[in-house]
Amino acid sequence: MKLGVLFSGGKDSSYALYKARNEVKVLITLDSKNKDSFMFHTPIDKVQELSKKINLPLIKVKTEGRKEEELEDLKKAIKKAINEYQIEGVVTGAVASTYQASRIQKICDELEIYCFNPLWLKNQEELLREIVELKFKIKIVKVAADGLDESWIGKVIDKKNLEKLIVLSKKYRFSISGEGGEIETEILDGPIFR
Amino acid sequence: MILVVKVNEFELHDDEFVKPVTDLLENFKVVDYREISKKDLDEAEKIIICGTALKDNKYFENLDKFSWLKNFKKPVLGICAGMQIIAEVLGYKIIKNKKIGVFENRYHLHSFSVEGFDDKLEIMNFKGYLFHPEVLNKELIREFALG
Repeated sequence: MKLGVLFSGGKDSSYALYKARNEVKVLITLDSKNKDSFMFHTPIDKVQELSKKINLPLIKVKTEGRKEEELEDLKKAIKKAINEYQIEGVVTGAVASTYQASRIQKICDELEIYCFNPLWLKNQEELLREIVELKFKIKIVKVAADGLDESWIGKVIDKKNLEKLIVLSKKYRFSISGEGGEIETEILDGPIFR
Repeated sequence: MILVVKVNEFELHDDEFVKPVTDLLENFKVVDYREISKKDLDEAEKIIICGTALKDNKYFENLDKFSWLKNFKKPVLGICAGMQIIAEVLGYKIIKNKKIGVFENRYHLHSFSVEGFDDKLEIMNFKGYLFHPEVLNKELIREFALG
């Protein structure tokens, strides 16, 4: 089945891409002006460059990021992927957000395509351990949680930093996978690069 | 041992519809619905039939693979598509009813439901949830496993 991945350049969509890798034909990115969007990860400035390294074409659609309008923009982007790359399904990196997941499910349903969420409800620690094990090189680009100061920005999540993050997430009770925007990440290298 | 019956057509859906259920269990075996053996049924203490994706209705064409349900006496839990399968095999009518999202703290992801039932079903040894308890109501799966 030909698939498109909703790709932000962060760790979750990169890992979702890895899981579906043999069937992925295109990356789909929403460039949101709203830095606090519940739907889309920001910043996404490296996505163009990443699509070249991954060797997959990119569909990038701009959105103002207003709550329901951004869903229409996402629908447009997916429609474009259906028309240009004949995709029959979309893959997302949704882990725990029912807000995000159900909205994407509705769009896929309206467009009569499959929706795949291979990281759905995954244990957050397990998720990060797998990513590190698979030798993804993931850099932290934004932090927003008690217990995470600015010194974390620019750090790569290697085994040592992962252990430190696990300890901090338990102490300060934040989501280690960054599902609530506590940590934003960017992929530098990994098994999806060709 | 709890036998976890996988209904999804595509392997890429395993992590979304099967793993979140097995993550809540201790002693289980996963089997594709087309490959259930008599030995699996004999060895299982209970059975959970998982759900699948909105567009994935392949199992409707293969309902004969669930005919074992008719004479099965041990506890069976059906999640979403699993509940629809139980109902259909037991002779109830499936009707169109699309619901996607969180309603009253339950995560729904279905295009059909069972005529005469809301989002739950309880008939003899059979139990069904039309919503996905593994998302927001994990205790329901744990209760079934331990009860």
